[in-house]
Amino acid sequence: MQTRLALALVALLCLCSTVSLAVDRNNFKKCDQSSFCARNRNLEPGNSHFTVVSSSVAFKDGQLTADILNTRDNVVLTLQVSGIANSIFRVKVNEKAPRKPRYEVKDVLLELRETPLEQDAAAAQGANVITIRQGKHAAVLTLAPFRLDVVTDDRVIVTLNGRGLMNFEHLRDRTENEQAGAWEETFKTWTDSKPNGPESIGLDISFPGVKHVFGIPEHASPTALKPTKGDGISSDPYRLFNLDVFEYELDNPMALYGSIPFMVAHAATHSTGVFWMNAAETWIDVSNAQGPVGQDATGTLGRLANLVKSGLKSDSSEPRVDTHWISEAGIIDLFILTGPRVPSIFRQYSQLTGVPALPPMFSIAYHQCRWNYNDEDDVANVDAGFDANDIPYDVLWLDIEHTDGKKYLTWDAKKFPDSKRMQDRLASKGHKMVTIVDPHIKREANYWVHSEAEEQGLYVKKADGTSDYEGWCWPGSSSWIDFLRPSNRNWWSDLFSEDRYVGSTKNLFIWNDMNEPSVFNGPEITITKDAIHHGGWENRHVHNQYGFYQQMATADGLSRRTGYTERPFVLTRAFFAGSQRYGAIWTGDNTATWDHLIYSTKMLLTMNLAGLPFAGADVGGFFGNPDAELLTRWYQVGAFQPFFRGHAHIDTKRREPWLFGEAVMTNIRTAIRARYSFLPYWYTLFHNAAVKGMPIMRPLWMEYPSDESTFAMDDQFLVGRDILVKPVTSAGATTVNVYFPGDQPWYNVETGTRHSAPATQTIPAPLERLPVFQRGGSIVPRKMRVRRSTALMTADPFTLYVALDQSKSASGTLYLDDGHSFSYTEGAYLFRQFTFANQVLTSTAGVTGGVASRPDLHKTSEWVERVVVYGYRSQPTSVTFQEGKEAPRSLNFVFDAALSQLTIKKPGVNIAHDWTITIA
Amino acid sequence: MHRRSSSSSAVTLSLAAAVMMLAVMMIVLCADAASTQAKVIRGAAPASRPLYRAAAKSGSFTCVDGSKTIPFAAINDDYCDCPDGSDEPGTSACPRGSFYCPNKRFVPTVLPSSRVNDGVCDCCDGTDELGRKESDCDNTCEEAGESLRLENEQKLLSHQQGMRVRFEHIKRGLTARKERTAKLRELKATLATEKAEDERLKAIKDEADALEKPAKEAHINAWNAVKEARRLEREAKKAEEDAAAAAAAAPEAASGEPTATEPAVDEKPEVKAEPEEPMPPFPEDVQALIDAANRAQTEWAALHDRATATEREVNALDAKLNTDLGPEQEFFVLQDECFSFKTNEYQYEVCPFVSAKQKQNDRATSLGSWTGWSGSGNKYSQMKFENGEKCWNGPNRSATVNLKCGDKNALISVAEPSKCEYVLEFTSPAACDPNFKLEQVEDDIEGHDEL
Repeated sequence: MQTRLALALVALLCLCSTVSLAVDRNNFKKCDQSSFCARNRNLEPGNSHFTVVSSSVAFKDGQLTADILNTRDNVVLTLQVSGIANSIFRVKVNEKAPRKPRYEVKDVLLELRETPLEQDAAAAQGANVITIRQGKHAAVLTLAPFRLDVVTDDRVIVTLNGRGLMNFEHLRDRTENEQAGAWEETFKTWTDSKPNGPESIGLDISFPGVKHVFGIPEHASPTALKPTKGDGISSDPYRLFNLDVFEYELDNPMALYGSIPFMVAHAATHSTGVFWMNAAETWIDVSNAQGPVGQDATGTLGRLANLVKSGLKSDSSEPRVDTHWISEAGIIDLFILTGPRVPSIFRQYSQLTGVPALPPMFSIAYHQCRWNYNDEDDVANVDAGFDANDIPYDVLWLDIEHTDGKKYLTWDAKKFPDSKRMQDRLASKGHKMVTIVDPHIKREANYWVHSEAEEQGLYVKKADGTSDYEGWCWPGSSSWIDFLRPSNRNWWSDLFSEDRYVGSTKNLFIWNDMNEPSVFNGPEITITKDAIHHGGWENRHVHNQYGFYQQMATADGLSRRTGYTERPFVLTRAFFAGSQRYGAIWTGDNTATWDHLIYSTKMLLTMNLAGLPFAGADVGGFFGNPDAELLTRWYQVGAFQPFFRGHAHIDTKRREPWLFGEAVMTNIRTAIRARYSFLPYWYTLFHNAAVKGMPIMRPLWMEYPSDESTFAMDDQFLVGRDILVKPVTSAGATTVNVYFPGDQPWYNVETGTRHSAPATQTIPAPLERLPVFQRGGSIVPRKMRVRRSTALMTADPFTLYVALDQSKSASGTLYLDDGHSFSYTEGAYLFRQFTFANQVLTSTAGVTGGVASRPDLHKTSEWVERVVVYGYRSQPTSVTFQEGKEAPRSLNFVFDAALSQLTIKKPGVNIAHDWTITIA
Repeated sequence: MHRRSSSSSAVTLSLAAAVMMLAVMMIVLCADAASTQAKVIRGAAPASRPLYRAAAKSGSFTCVDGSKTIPFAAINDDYCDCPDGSDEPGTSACPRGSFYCPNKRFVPTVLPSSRVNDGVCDCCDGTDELGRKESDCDNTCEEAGESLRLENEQKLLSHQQGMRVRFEHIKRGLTARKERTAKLRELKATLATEKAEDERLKAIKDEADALEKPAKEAHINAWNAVKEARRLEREAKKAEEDAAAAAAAAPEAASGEPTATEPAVDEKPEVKAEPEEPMPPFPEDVQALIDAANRAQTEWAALHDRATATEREVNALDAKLNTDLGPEQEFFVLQDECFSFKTNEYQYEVCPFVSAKQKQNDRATSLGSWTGWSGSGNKYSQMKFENGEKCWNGPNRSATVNLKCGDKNALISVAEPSKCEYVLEFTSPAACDPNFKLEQVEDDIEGHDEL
């Protein structure tokens, strides 16, 4: 929501008269303007001066420890290599005796189950190579120079320091001759005091055998990361530093609002992941290479070959991706996820940082937002507009203008005199509300939140560590809650109780914006790096975790107000690894252009690959005015992206779906209704994410991992495994080319038309509908009845869409619970398994992750009203339903020979039951 | 910003809404409606009931769109057979279906099928929720009917008052138009006369000018010639004197010492310093011509000014007559008037057919100039003002004024739904619809019931 308004405010108040007010590229650092980045990026490969001290190597309790000597300045580091369950290696490097402790990321990792590593008996004392194993995976440590190769399935999948770019700037006293920028650095008008001097770290990580790497959001870049270095490529590295970037550019490695330092490498043969657990400003170079990594190819690899059971694959023409990770501070704490299959990567990653929270049902439906809905009348009119046009929506949002002077947790009494009544009225039809609560607190004497925060010392401090940090944001002069302190988070969580947040109800949920944090008059529009957080840590050390902590505390507050019985919903703009545990994110302030629509898919695929699937982009584009066609196409795509919210800047024209005439309204309504009809499938996918960490929106290669033509494909995507979506992203398009992967047919979900695979076909794409296809071999449960909100769908029947594969079979699952409480954690849910084989459709209780299902705890009246079979080719003579020992009964059906589609009418059975339908 | 907050009918409206809301929470089952349920094709509107009656007799039903014929038993069986939804008037099975609430003692309403059996009591008689086992809708039609009656009384009163004033407006408008038309005709006649006179006087003036000019010029030229001769004479004389003086001063000058008697530098020995002789008066015959020309000029100028003023008046009146004041001139009274409305921050001013403004302290911001009537359907339901002052980094401001019936001409609300696009509400008797009809509360007599 960063705007000119804010900038004007700053300008008016003459706070920083020398600061350029145009928010553009020049407001943000490039690598060469960030001295630590430049120092590391300028290192020459092949000169590593880190050597493992042979005598220090110890193997105890299944962990390897050793000292690493920086031979250039004789500083000793400690190395720790340990095993985490399910084939994860953790490599940790810190100073052995730092002058003061270095920051280690807290609160991101779950409690880890360590797996003792085994030392390879073959390694003789004094050898330059030591091998430790976890099952079939080996970590091969080369002592001089330090290098670590992870080997799995006779293949080196990851090499650390193979190019010798490792760096570890130890904490030191200031001396006479320091490099420029090491102890103090000026960017534009801001000087960063750097009280600890240089303390950066760096490491090169190579992925032999792959051409494509993914992840490390958030960047407006293609899903398959483009190289930043190499022949003819001159780009900044990908930057991870949570920033509020006004009108961000596309196809650019600049930092955006959130950071997840997790990267996935994928090849037809295997997938690998690395998680660089560091919350400081981080830059990552990516380049393509060939052959084995390092100067010692024959030496090390030769020995590696002897150490693994059979011949190691090390072809000199084999592709390779080299990456170089540079962080300003902290330690090297790296997790190597050995895969080797795609799903195992996500199981491994969620084992470290957690699975996504299971969201309440309403939050995966449609959200209507605008900066701003002006008052209670406006809210009532928008709500009435949805009803009048019979368009479902679940949540209506209020942006910053609803508050009294941008004081969060207050209401503008003139515009919202009775906010509870407003919420109750919406709730009577199942609707929820979301209000915005940002982390900056207006410094106003009588504002209760500020008074408490000031008195109790809850604010982030200036570099002196004692006085409150002050800066400018929406309300003018503000301070920022120090969310790193657990007791501050506890205080914050309490703010959301109904008696503290006056005018709120249990139907009100929260949006945390501007939590990079955005500081209008700060360097790079954020807080100064030398500001002090809990524990004396500088913002430099913890910056990328700030928004993560705010969302954590907010989500806890929403759960707390119901005694931890109801699920929270919190949307955040800034995020870090682990944010998936607390709610949803969106891609910030995008723009109403076709290119931004295209990039929404690329960016959301990346979010999903980084373990945070509950992500969306503002439908319609935040800045600017989309024309009716762009808006329609955006709704069609947004309806198949995980977080689905229309939002617009205050300076834009109104764009509620009915404001563009009947035809446009109908098309947008069709898209939103499609979302609602697929909600049972979406909810099952969110459940699947919550138990297995699996992405929801997937690049095609996730399901077709050996189809290399899909590796860089980010203009179409899968929802789960079974739904293929091809966004239409150009003006005037009447057809699109769709690639159908795999070897089973795909069926158009609107028309039932069959498409063979693998093939690229030109598909009609009229404005009336989005090209969406169901996989042959799948069964997708949907709810076809139109309602006003998900709360009003809870008794509605299911239609099962059975798409047959070439062997005339199919299968699918359905997860069901009450959609809002935590009772599913006690087993109050149903998990149904549907299979179609040999002309028989069977419904049985299925098995899923988490606590075992207790159907007795989840009673439902939902039933099966229809079964549609795609790819059924001959006229049946009868369709018979049977449940248990009851007498079989025959069902009515309609067969469409032209479409090979069989529709079975009204099995009429409760969804919780076991039954069969036999077609003869 | 709070629309209608000052109008009494709004209070009743929201009361009615509150009554409906309360119904959701009340847990009383309507036994009456439930017992008749079996006989009725639930949700069917009276007009379509014969179709279902016929189907009951024949045992089969053809969808209203003709797409299919289905057994009678498939009607309201909670499964959508007809693409047009006609087989399921009483369930939520068809996305395109609709449900008819009889709402006895209130007003029948037609709902989309999405409202049926969803747990929300949308019909005051609760019939939309009767398909649910645990339906808990109270019948609130009595109260709703009562509210509607009260509301209708208010509305009717307001409408009647509005219509009375509207009638006055029309009378004034039509009279004014007649008067204006007559006045215009008169003015145009005057203008024609004045234009003719203008031409005539201009001709006289030109003629007088033509006579005056050469005579006047001859006199002036003669005098100029005399003046020139005298000047030349003066110069010659001066030259002589200068030469003489120079000759006399020469020995002193040779001594190289300037004398104290030397004239000061600023004393200009200019010949022209002598006062100019006035021109002798024009001879009588010439002066007579001049006077005649001046008289003709004055006479013509006076007439010309009058004609210009008349023309301006004609144009202004023409513009007023060409302004669309409604088919019955009912908006006449708004012409030449301005109306304002105060919010906490601003005062808004609308001058119909001219402009709209937003004022704060002494500063007025244009929200646009009149571009015409813009209502969809009835174009006189909306006024449009466009091309106001440009918003910072945004569009030019514009204002839309929605008119509705009321007994006074007044601005009653202002909103800014999109930045710099203002929407104002204006009540006017002129906006009252002579064909206004109230929703009638269904009385208790059952004229058309059930299968």
